[in-house]
Amino acid sequence: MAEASPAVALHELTAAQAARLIREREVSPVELVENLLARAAEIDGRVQAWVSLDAERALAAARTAEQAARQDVDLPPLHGVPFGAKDIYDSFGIKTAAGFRPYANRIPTTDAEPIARLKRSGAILLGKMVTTQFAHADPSRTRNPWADDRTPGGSSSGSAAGVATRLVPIALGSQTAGSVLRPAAFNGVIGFKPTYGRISKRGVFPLAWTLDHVGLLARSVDDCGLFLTAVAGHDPADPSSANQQLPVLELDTEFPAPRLGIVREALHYAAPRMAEHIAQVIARFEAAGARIVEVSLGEPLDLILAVHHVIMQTEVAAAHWQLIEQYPGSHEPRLRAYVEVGRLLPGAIYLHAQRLRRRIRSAMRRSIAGVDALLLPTAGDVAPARDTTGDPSLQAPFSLTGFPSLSLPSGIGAPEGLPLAIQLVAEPWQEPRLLSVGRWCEAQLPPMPAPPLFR
Amino acid sequence: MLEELSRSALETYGEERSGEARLQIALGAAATAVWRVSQEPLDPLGNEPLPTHG
Repeated sequence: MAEASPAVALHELTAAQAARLIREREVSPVELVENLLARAAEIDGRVQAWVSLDAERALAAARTAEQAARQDVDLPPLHGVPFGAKDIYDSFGIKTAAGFRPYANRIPTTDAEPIARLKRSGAILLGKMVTTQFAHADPSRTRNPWADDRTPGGSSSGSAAGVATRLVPIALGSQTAGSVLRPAAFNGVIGFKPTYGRISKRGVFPLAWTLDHVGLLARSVDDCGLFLTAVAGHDPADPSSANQQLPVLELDTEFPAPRLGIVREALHYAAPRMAEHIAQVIARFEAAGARIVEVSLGEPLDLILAVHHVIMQTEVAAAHWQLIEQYPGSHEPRLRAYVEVGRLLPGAIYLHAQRLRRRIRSAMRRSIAGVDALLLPTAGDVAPARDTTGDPSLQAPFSLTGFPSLSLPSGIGAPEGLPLAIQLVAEPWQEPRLLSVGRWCEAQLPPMPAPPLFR
Repeated sequence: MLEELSRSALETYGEERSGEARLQIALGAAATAVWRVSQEPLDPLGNEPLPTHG
Protein backbone atom coordinates (compact mmCIF):
# COMPACT_ATOMS: atom_id res chain seq x y z
CA MET A 1 0.00 0.00 0.00
CA ALA A 2 1.17 3.50 -0.74
CA GLU A 3 1.29 6.38 1.72
CA ALA A 4 -1.61 8.85 1.80
CA SER A 5 -0.15 11.50 -0.47
CA PRO A 6 3.22 13.14 -0.62
CA ALA A 7 1.69 16.30 0.87
CA VAL A 8 0.34 14.77 4.09
CA ALA A 9 2.58 13.02 6.59
CA LEU A 10 0.98 9.95 8.14
CA HIS A 11 1.15 11.39 11.66
CA GLU A 12 -0.84 14.44 10.50
CA LEU A 13 -3.87 12.35 9.50
CA THR A 14 -7.01 12.70 11.56
CA ALA A 15 -8.86 9.52 12.49
CA ALA A 16 -11.51 10.14 9.82
CA GLN A 17 -8.86 10.75 7.14
CA ALA A 18 -6.88 7.68 8.17
CA ALA A 19 -10.01 5.49 8.18
CA ARG A 20 -10.97 6.63 4.70
CA LEU A 21 -7.49 6.19 3.25
CA ILE A 22 -7.13 2.74 4.81
CA ARG A 23 -10.49 1.75 3.34
CA GLU A 24 -9.35 3.04 -0.06
CA ARG A 25 -6.06 1.13 0.37
CA GLU A 26 -4.11 4.36 0.10
CA VAL A 27 -2.63 3.98 3.57
CA SER A 28 -1.28 0.87 5.23
CA PRO A 29 -2.31 0.39 8.88
CA VAL A 30 1.11 -1.17 9.50
CA GLU A 31 2.93 1.86 8.10
CA LEU A 32 0.69 4.16 10.10
CA VAL A 33 1.39 2.34 13.38
CA GLU A 34 5.11 2.14 12.60
CA ASN A 35 5.15 5.86 11.80
CA LEU A 36 3.51 6.76 15.13
CA LEU A 37 5.82 4.44 17.09
CA ALA A 38 8.82 6.09 15.42
CA ARG A 39 7.42 9.53 16.20
CA ALA A 40 6.97 8.54 19.84
CA ALA A 41 10.60 7.40 20.00
CA GLU A 42 11.65 10.73 18.49
CA ILE A 43 9.63 13.28 20.46
CA ASP A 44 7.86 11.76 23.46
CA GLY A 45 10.86 12.36 25.69
CA ARG A 46 9.99 16.05 25.40
CA VAL A 47 6.19 15.66 25.56
CA GLN A 48 5.79 12.85 28.11
CA ALA A 49 2.37 11.92 26.81
CA TRP A 50 2.74 8.12 26.82
CA VAL A 51 2.89 5.99 29.96
CA SER A 52 3.48 2.90 27.84
CA LEU A 53 3.29 1.81 24.23
CA ASP A 54 2.01 -1.61 23.28
CA ALA A 55 4.04 -1.87 20.09
CA GLU A 56 3.91 -5.63 19.67
CA ARG A 57 0.14 -6.01 19.99
CA ALA A 58 -0.52 -2.81 17.99
CA LEU A 59 1.64 -4.03 15.11
CA ALA A 60 -0.02 -7.45 15.19
CA ALA A 61 -3.45 -5.79 15.06
CA ALA A 62 -2.25 -3.55 12.22
CA ARG A 63 -1.07 -6.54 10.21
CA THR A 64 -4.47 -8.20 10.66
CA ALA A 65 -6.18 -4.95 9.68
CA GLU A 66 -4.02 -4.70 6.58
CA GLN A 67 -4.94 -8.19 5.47
CA ALA A 68 -8.64 -7.45 5.92
CA ALA A 69 -8.28 -4.19 3.98
CA ARG A 70 -6.80 -6.11 1.04
CA GLN A 71 -9.96 -8.17 0.79
CA ASP A 72 -13.21 -6.74 -0.52
CA VAL A 73 -15.12 -6.98 2.74
CA ASP A 74 -17.10 -4.45 4.73
CA LEU A 75 -14.69 -2.77 7.11
CA PRO A 76 -15.76 -1.28 10.45
CA PRO A 77 -15.71 2.55 10.65
CA LEU A 78 -12.38 2.92 12.47
CA HIS A 79 -10.63 0.03 10.76
CA GLY A 80 -6.88 0.26 11.32
CA VAL A 81 -6.99 3.64 13.10
CA PRO A 82 -4.65 3.90 16.13
CA PHE A 83 -5.85 5.44 19.38
CA GLY A 84 -4.50 6.09 22.87
CA ALA A 85 -6.28 5.70 26.21
CA LYS A 86 -5.83 7.66 29.40
CA ASP A 87 -4.28 5.38 32.00
CA ILE A 88 -7.45 5.15 34.07
CA TYR A 89 -9.03 2.87 31.42
CA ASP A 90 -8.45 -0.83 32.02
CA SER A 91 -6.67 -2.38 29.07
CA PHE A 92 -6.25 -6.09 28.51
CA GLY A 93 -2.65 -7.16 29.09
CA ILE A 94 -1.32 -3.61 29.52
CA LYS A 95 -0.37 -2.10 32.87
CA THR A 96 -3.06 0.30 34.11
CA ALA A 97 -1.96 2.30 37.13
CA ALA A 98 -4.01 5.55 37.11
CA GLY A 99 -0.84 7.36 38.17
CA PHE A 100 -0.88 5.44 41.48
CA ARG A 101 2.43 3.81 42.46
CA PRO A 102 0.91 0.78 44.27
CA TYR A 103 -0.82 -0.11 40.99
CA ALA A 104 2.37 0.11 38.92
CA ASN A 105 2.22 -3.59 38.05
CA ARG A 106 -1.54 -3.94 37.82
CA ILE A 107 -2.41 -5.70 34.54
CA PRO A 108 -6.14 -5.95 33.76
CA THR A 109 -7.51 -9.09 32.18
CA THR A 110 -10.26 -7.23 30.31
CA ASP A 111 -10.64 -3.96 28.43
CA ALA A 112 -12.70 -1.07 29.76
CA GLU A 113 -15.94 -0.99 27.77
CA PRO A 114 -15.03 2.12 25.69
CA ILE A 115 -11.73 0.48 24.66
CA ALA A 116 -13.52 -2.77 23.84
CA ARG A 117 -16.05 -0.93 21.67
CA LEU A 118 -13.35 1.07 19.87
CA LYS A 119 -11.51 -2.18 19.12
CA ARG A 120 -14.74 -3.72 17.81
CA SER A 121 -14.99 -0.71 15.48
CA GLY A 122 -11.60 -1.60 14.08
CA ALA A 123 -9.43 0.84 16.04
CA ILE A 124 -6.00 -0.21 17.32
CA LEU A 125 -4.90 0.60 20.87
CA LEU A 126 -1.39 2.03 20.59
CA GLY A 127 -0.79 2.52 24.32
CA LYS A 128 -1.70 4.26 27.55
CA MET A 129 -1.47 7.99 28.13
CA VAL A 130 -0.39 9.94 31.17
CA THR A 131 -3.08 10.98 33.64
CA THR A 132 -2.87 12.98 36.81
CA GLN A 133 -3.21 10.59 39.74
CA PHE A 134 -6.72 9.08 39.61
CA ALA A 135 -7.72 11.89 37.23
CA HIS A 136 -7.60 14.48 40.03
CA ALA A 137 -5.82 17.83 40.24
CA ASP A 138 -2.15 17.17 41.11
CA PRO A 139 -0.16 18.06 37.97
CA SER A 140 1.28 15.16 35.94
CA ARG A 141 4.69 14.95 34.26
CA THR A 142 3.28 15.76 30.79
CA ARG A 143 4.57 18.99 29.25
CA ASN A 144 2.57 21.63 27.43
CA PRO A 145 3.99 21.37 23.89
CA TRP A 146 3.22 25.06 23.23
CA ALA A 147 5.21 26.39 26.20
CA ASP A 148 7.27 24.40 28.66
CA ASP A 149 6.51 26.76 31.55
CA ARG A 150 2.74 26.22 31.20
CA THR A 151 0.45 23.40 32.26
CA PRO A 152 -0.91 21.06 29.62
CA GLY A 153 -4.04 21.01 31.77
CA GLY A 154 -5.44 17.95 33.38
CA SER A 155 -6.40 15.45 34.14
CA SER A 156 -6.27 14.09 30.58
CA SER A 157 -2.86 15.71 30.10
CA GLY A 158 -1.14 12.94 28.12
CA SER A 159 -4.16 12.42 25.85
CA ALA A 160 -4.35 16.12 24.97
CA ALA A 161 -0.62 16.75 24.52
CA GLY A 162 -0.28 13.49 22.56
CA VAL A 163 -3.03 14.42 20.11
CA ALA A 164 -1.62 17.96 19.78
CA THR A 165 1.88 16.71 18.93
CA ARG A 166 0.52 14.15 16.44
CA LEU A 167 1.64 11.17 18.51
CA VAL A 168 -1.81 9.68 17.92
CA PRO A 169 -4.91 10.93 16.06
CA ILE A 170 -7.44 10.35 18.87
CA ALA A 171 -7.23 9.53 22.56
CA LEU A 172 -9.70 8.68 25.30
CA GLY A 173 -9.89 11.13 28.19
CA SER A 174 -12.30 11.57 31.07
CA GLN A 175 -14.00 14.55 32.70
CA THR A 176 -15.38 15.01 36.21
CA ALA A 177 -14.98 18.80 36.39
CA GLY A 178 -13.15 19.92 33.23
CA SER A 179 -10.56 17.26 32.48
CA VAL A 180 -11.29 16.73 28.78
CA LEU A 181 -12.23 20.20 27.57
CA ARG A 182 -9.64 22.20 29.52
CA PRO A 183 -6.56 20.23 28.39
CA ALA A 184 -8.03 20.28 24.89
CA ALA A 185 -8.13 24.08 25.07
CA PHE A 186 -4.61 24.41 26.51
CA ASN A 187 -3.12 22.11 23.83
CA GLY A 188 -4.99 23.43 20.78
CA VAL A 189 -7.04 20.29 20.06
CA ILE A 190 -10.71 19.32 20.15
CA GLY A 191 -12.27 18.01 23.36
CA PHE A 192 -15.63 16.22 23.33
CA LYS A 193 -17.68 15.16 26.34
CA PRO A 194 -20.96 13.43 25.44
CA THR A 195 -24.05 13.42 27.66
CA TYR A 196 -23.73 11.73 31.06
CA GLY A 197 -24.87 8.14 30.61
CA ARG A 198 -24.24 8.05 26.86
CA ILE A 199 -21.03 6.00 27.16
CA SER A 200 -20.37 3.11 29.51
CA LYS A 201 -17.72 3.68 32.19
CA ARG A 202 -17.27 0.01 33.02
CA GLY A 203 -13.58 -0.62 33.62
CA VAL A 204 -12.72 3.07 34.09
CA PHE A 205 -11.36 4.09 37.51
CA PRO A 206 -14.02 6.19 39.24
CA LEU A 207 -13.27 9.60 40.68
CA ALA A 208 -16.84 10.84 41.41
CA TRP A 209 -19.54 8.48 40.13
CA THR A 210 -22.33 10.92 39.27
CA LEU A 211 -19.95 13.37 37.57
CA ASP A 212 -17.47 11.16 35.69
CA HIS A 213 -17.76 11.23 31.89
CA VAL A 214 -15.90 9.40 29.15
CA GLY A 215 -14.56 11.86 26.56
CA LEU A 216 -12.32 12.23 23.53
CA LEU A 217 -9.36 14.33 22.45
CA ALA A 218 -9.20 14.70 18.67
CA ARG A 219 -8.26 17.03 15.81
CA SER A 220 -11.52 17.10 13.86
CA VAL A 221 -15.22 17.15 14.68
CA ASP A 222 -15.69 14.26 12.26
CA ASP A 223 -13.43 12.19 14.51
CA CYS A 224 -15.77 12.92 17.43
CA GLY A 225 -18.69 11.62 15.38
CA LEU A 226 -16.84 8.42 14.47
CA PHE A 227 -15.88 7.93 18.10
CA LEU A 228 -19.41 8.49 19.37
CA THR A 229 -20.91 6.06 16.88
CA ALA A 230 -18.36 3.46 17.96
CA VAL A 231 -18.74 3.72 21.73
CA ALA A 232 -22.28 4.99 22.46
CA GLY A 233 -24.96 2.62 23.60
CA HIS A 234 -26.50 1.08 26.68
CA ASP A 235 -24.37 -1.17 28.87
CA PRO A 236 -26.55 -3.03 31.39
CA ALA A 237 -23.44 -3.81 33.44
CA ASP A 238 -22.82 -0.10 34.14
CA PRO A 239 -25.50 1.47 36.38
CA SER A 240 -24.72 4.94 35.02
CA SER A 241 -25.27 3.89 31.41
CA ALA A 242 -28.55 5.15 29.97
CA ASN A 243 -30.78 3.20 27.62
CA GLN A 244 -30.80 5.92 24.97
CA GLN A 245 -30.56 5.27 21.27
CA LEU A 246 -27.99 7.38 19.40
CA PRO A 247 -29.59 8.77 16.23
CA VAL A 248 -27.65 8.23 13.03
CA LEU A 249 -25.09 11.01 12.71
CA GLU A 250 -25.26 12.81 9.39
CA LEU A 251 -22.37 15.19 9.76
CA ASP A 252 -21.82 15.35 6.00
CA THR A 253 -25.17 17.07 5.56
CA GLU A 254 -24.78 20.82 5.39
CA PHE A 255 -25.96 22.36 8.64
CA PRO A 256 -27.49 25.85 8.35
CA ALA A 257 -25.80 28.71 10.17
CA PRO A 258 -26.73 28.04 13.82
CA ARG A 259 -28.41 30.05 16.53
CA LEU A 260 -25.96 30.37 19.38
CA GLY A 261 -26.52 31.57 22.93
CA ILE A 262 -23.54 33.44 24.28
CA VAL A 263 -23.36 32.81 28.03
CA ARG A 264 -23.32 36.11 29.91
CA GLU A 265 -21.85 34.73 33.17
CA ALA A 266 -18.92 33.16 31.31
CA LEU A 267 -18.00 36.42 29.61
CA HIS A 268 -18.00 38.18 32.97
CA TYR A 269 -15.81 35.43 34.42
CA ALA A 270 -13.26 35.35 31.59
CA ALA A 271 -10.08 37.43 31.45
CA PRO A 272 -10.46 40.59 29.32
CA ARG A 273 -8.36 39.20 26.46
CA MET A 274 -10.48 36.06 26.36
CA ALA A 275 -13.69 38.09 26.34
CA GLU A 276 -12.22 40.14 23.49
CA HIS A 277 -11.34 36.96 21.61
CA ILE A 278 -14.89 35.66 22.02
CA ALA A 279 -16.21 38.96 20.64
CA GLN A 280 -14.01 38.42 17.56
CA VAL A 281 -15.26 34.84 17.17
CA ILE A 282 -18.86 36.07 17.43
CA ALA A 283 -18.23 38.68 14.72
CA ARG A 284 -16.76 35.98 12.48
CA PHE A 285 -19.73 33.68 13.06
CA GLU A 286 -22.27 36.45 12.52
CA ALA A 287 -20.58 37.38 9.24
CA ALA A 288 -21.07 33.75 8.17
CA GLY A 289 -24.78 33.92 9.00
CA ALA A 290 -25.02 32.71 12.61
CA ARG A 291 -27.55 34.35 14.88
CA ILE A 292 -26.17 35.16 18.31
CA VAL A 293 -28.28 35.95 21.36
CA GLU A 294 -27.18 36.55 24.92
CA VAL A 295 -28.38 33.98 27.46
CA SER A 296 -27.90 33.25 31.14
CA LEU A 297 -27.19 29.88 32.75
CA GLY A 298 -30.34 30.52 34.80
CA GLU A 299 -28.61 30.10 38.17
CA PRO A 300 -25.62 32.03 39.59
CA LEU A 301 -22.26 30.62 38.48
CA ASP A 302 -20.95 30.63 42.06
CA LEU A 303 -23.88 28.45 43.17
CA ILE A 304 -23.36 26.03 40.27
CA LEU A 305 -19.68 25.69 41.18
CA ALA A 306 -20.42 25.28 44.89
CA VAL A 307 -22.92 22.50 44.16
CA HIS A 308 -20.37 20.82 41.89
CA HIS A 309 -17.69 21.15 44.57
CA VAL A 310 -19.78 19.58 47.35
CA ILE A 311 -20.92 16.67 45.20
CA MET A 312 -17.49 16.00 43.73
CA GLN A 313 -15.57 16.24 46.98
CA THR A 314 -18.01 13.97 48.84
CA GLU A 315 -17.97 11.35 46.08
CA VAL A 316 -14.17 11.47 45.65
CA ALA A 317 -13.85 10.93 49.40
CA ALA A 318 -16.25 7.99 49.28
CA ALA A 319 -14.38 6.45 46.35
CA HIS A 320 -10.87 6.93 47.73
CA TRP A 321 -10.66 7.04 51.54
CA GLN A 322 -10.19 3.29 51.84
CA LEU A 323 -7.29 3.39 49.38
CA ILE A 324 -5.66 6.13 51.44
CA GLU A 325 -5.87 3.92 54.52
CA GLN A 326 -4.71 0.86 52.60
CA TYR A 327 -1.74 2.59 50.95
CA PRO A 328 -0.67 5.40 53.29
CA GLY A 329 1.68 7.94 51.73
CA SER A 330 0.85 6.93 48.15
CA HIS A 331 -1.61 9.67 47.25
CA GLU A 332 -0.55 13.00 45.77
CA PRO A 333 -0.90 15.92 48.21
CA ARG A 334 -3.91 17.69 46.65
CA LEU A 335 -5.88 14.47 46.26
CA ARG A 336 -5.09 13.32 49.79
CA ALA A 337 -6.21 16.62 51.33
CA TYR A 338 -9.31 16.69 49.10
CA VAL A 339 -10.33 13.21 50.28
CA GLU A 340 -9.58 13.94 53.93
CA VAL A 341 -11.74 17.07 53.88
CA GLY A 342 -14.40 15.38 51.76
CA ARG A 343 -14.92 12.81 54.50
CA LEU A 344 -15.88 15.61 56.89
CA LEU A 345 -18.69 17.10 54.77
CA PRO A 346 -22.19 16.52 56.18
CA GLY A 347 -24.39 14.02 54.34
CA ALA A 348 -27.32 16.43 54.46
CA ILE A 349 -25.30 19.00 52.51
CA TYR A 350 -24.45 16.44 49.84
CA LEU A 351 -28.13 15.60 49.41
CA HIS A 352 -29.09 19.28 49.40
CA ALA A 353 -26.52 19.82 46.64
CA GLN A 354 -27.95 16.92 44.63
CA ARG A 355 -31.42 18.49 44.87
CA LEU A 356 -30.02 21.86 43.79
CA ARG A 357 -28.35 20.07 40.90
CA ARG A 358 -31.78 19.08 39.60
CA ARG A 359 -32.92 22.71 39.79
CA ILE A 360 -29.76 23.91 38.01
CA ARG A 361 -30.30 21.34 35.27
CA SER A 362 -33.86 22.57 34.69
CA ALA A 363 -32.69 26.19 34.55
CA MET A 364 -29.97 25.30 32.08
CA ARG A 365 -32.46 23.47 29.89
CA ARG A 366 -34.60 26.62 29.74
CA SER A 367 -31.54 28.73 28.83
CA ILE A 368 -30.63 26.49 25.96
CA ALA A 369 -34.17 25.91 24.68
CA GLY A 370 -34.21 28.70 22.09
CA VAL A 371 -30.78 28.09 20.57
CA ASP A 372 -28.91 25.28 18.85
CA ALA A 373 -26.05 25.48 21.32
CA LEU A 374 -24.55 27.62 24.06
CA LEU A 375 -21.30 29.39 23.22
CA LEU A 376 -18.69 30.36 25.80
CA PRO A 377 -14.93 30.29 26.31
CA THR A 378 -13.69 26.83 27.27
CA ALA A 379 -11.34 28.33 29.85
CA GLY A 380 -11.18 31.78 31.38
CA ASP A 381 -7.70 32.38 29.96
CA VAL A 382 -4.74 30.65 28.30
CA ALA A 383 -2.85 27.84 30.06
CA PRO A 384 -1.44 29.01 33.43
CA ALA A 385 1.84 27.94 35.08
CA ARG A 386 2.77 24.29 35.65
CA ASP A 387 1.99 24.15 39.38
CA THR A 388 -1.72 23.70 38.61
CA THR A 389 -3.83 21.95 35.98
CA GLY A 390 -5.92 25.09 35.46
CA ASP A 391 -9.30 26.42 36.46
CA PRO A 392 -12.35 24.19 35.76
CA SER A 393 -14.97 26.88 36.44
CA LEU A 394 -16.23 27.17 32.86
CA GLN A 395 -16.25 23.44 32.11
CA ALA A 396 -17.60 22.09 35.41
CA PRO A 397 -21.18 23.44 35.02
CA PHE A 398 -21.74 20.95 32.18
CA SER A 399 -20.14 18.07 34.04
CA LEU A 400 -22.60 18.87 36.83
CA THR A 401 -25.64 18.85 34.56
CA GLY A 402 -24.36 16.15 32.21
CA PHE A 403 -24.99 18.28 29.11
CA PRO A 404 -22.79 17.38 26.13
CA SER A 405 -19.98 19.85 25.47
CA LEU A 406 -17.36 20.38 22.80
CA SER A 407 -14.21 22.51 22.84
CA LEU A 408 -12.83 23.83 19.55
CA PRO A 409 -9.48 25.60 19.14
CA SER A 410 -10.31 29.11 17.98
CA GLY A 411 -7.05 31.02 17.69
CA ILE A 412 -3.69 31.84 19.20
CA GLY A 413 -3.50 34.38 22.01
CA ALA A 414 -0.96 37.19 22.05
CA PRO A 415 1.61 37.78 23.38
CA GLU A 416 2.50 34.24 24.53
CA GLY A 417 1.35 32.42 21.39
CA LEU A 418 -0.83 29.98 23.33
CA PRO A 419 -4.05 28.33 22.06
CA LEU A 420 -7.49 29.80 22.75
CA ALA A 421 -10.71 27.82 22.57
CA ILE A 422 -14.47 28.13 22.45
CA GLN A 423 -16.94 25.77 24.06
CA LEU A 424 -20.27 24.66 22.62
CA VAL A 425 -22.94 23.01 24.76
CA ALA A 426 -26.18 21.32 23.70
CA GLU A 427 -29.19 19.79 25.42
CA PRO A 428 -28.81 16.28 26.81
CA TRP A 429 -28.81 13.56 24.12
CA GLN A 430 -28.42 16.18 21.38
CA GLU A 431 -24.88 15.22 20.37
CA PRO A 432 -25.89 15.05 16.69
CA ARG A 433 -26.87 18.72 16.82
CA LEU A 434 -23.82 19.62 18.91
CA LEU A 435 -21.47 17.98 16.43
CA SER A 436 -23.26 19.53 13.45
CA VAL A 437 -22.94 22.98 15.04
CA GLY A 438 -19.34 22.13 15.92
CA ARG A 439 -18.62 21.20 12.33
CA TRP A 440 -20.13 24.48 11.12
CA CYS A 441 -18.03 26.47 13.62
CA GLU A 442 -14.90 24.45 12.81
CA ALA A 443 -15.29 25.49 9.16
CA GLN A 444 -15.38 29.19 10.12
CA LEU A 445 -12.35 29.07 12.42
CA PRO A 446 -8.69 29.13 11.37
CA PRO A 447 -7.12 25.65 11.35
CA MET A 448 -4.98 24.93 14.40
CA PRO A 449 -1.47 23.73 13.47
CA ALA A 450 0.76 21.50 15.57
CA PRO A 451 2.75 23.36 18.24
CA PRO A 452 5.74 25.09 16.59
CA LEU A 453 8.39 22.81 18.12
CA PHE A 454 6.59 19.66 16.95
CA ARG A 455 5.76 20.41 13.31
CA MET B 1 -18.68 26.77 58.47
CA LEU B 2 -14.86 26.91 58.31
CA GLU B 3 -14.72 26.78 62.10
CA GLU B 4 -16.94 23.71 62.16
CA LEU B 5 -14.94 21.89 59.49
CA SER B 6 -11.61 22.86 61.09
CA ARG B 7 -12.79 21.49 64.43
CA SER B 8 -13.83 18.29 62.74
CA ALA B 9 -10.45 18.04 60.97
CA LEU B 10 -8.62 18.54 64.26
CA GLU B 11 -10.63 15.77 65.95
CA THR B 12 -10.21 13.37 63.02
CA TYR B 13 -6.64 13.96 61.86
CA GLY B 14 -4.91 15.55 64.84
CA GLU B 15 -3.18 18.88 65.30
CA GLU B 16 -0.17 18.33 63.07
CA ARG B 17 -2.02 17.11 59.97
CA SER B 18 -4.97 19.45 60.28
CA GLY B 19 -2.59 22.42 60.51
CA GLU B 20 -0.78 21.61 57.26
CA ALA B 21 -1.13 24.16 54.47
CA ARG B 22 -2.58 21.76 51.90
CA LEU B 23 -5.34 20.66 54.27
CA GLN B 24 -6.05 24.25 55.28
CA ILE B 25 -6.52 25.21 51.62
CA ALA B 26 -8.89 22.28 51.07
CA LEU B 27 -10.81 23.20 54.24
CA GLY B 28 -11.22 26.79 53.10
CA ALA B 29 -12.50 25.84 49.66
CA ALA B 30 -14.91 23.25 51.06
CA ALA B 31 -16.23 25.64 53.71
CA THR B 32 -17.02 28.25 51.06
CA ALA B 33 -18.84 25.69 48.90
CA VAL B 34 -20.79 24.20 51.80
CA TRP B 35 -21.79 27.65 53.02
CA ARG B 36 -23.00 28.68 49.54
CA VAL B 37 -25.01 25.47 49.09
CA SER B 38 -26.55 25.80 52.56
CA GLN B 39 -27.72 29.35 51.78
CA GLU B 40 -29.97 28.12 48.98
CA PRO B 41 -33.45 27.21 50.20
CA LEU B 42 -35.42 24.32 48.72
CA ASP B 43 -38.97 23.14 49.25
CA PRO B 44 -38.64 20.43 51.92
CA LEU B 45 -41.37 18.43 50.19
CA GLY B 46 -39.77 18.75 46.76
CA ASN B 47 -38.08 16.11 44.65
CA GLU B 48 -35.78 13.59 46.23
CA PRO B 49 -32.08 13.95 45.39
CA LEU B 50 -31.77 11.17 42.84
CA PRO B 51 -28.78 11.43 40.56
CA THR B 52 -30.44 11.34 37.17
CA HIS B 53 -29.27 11.28 33.61
CA GLY B 54 -29.00 14.59 31.76
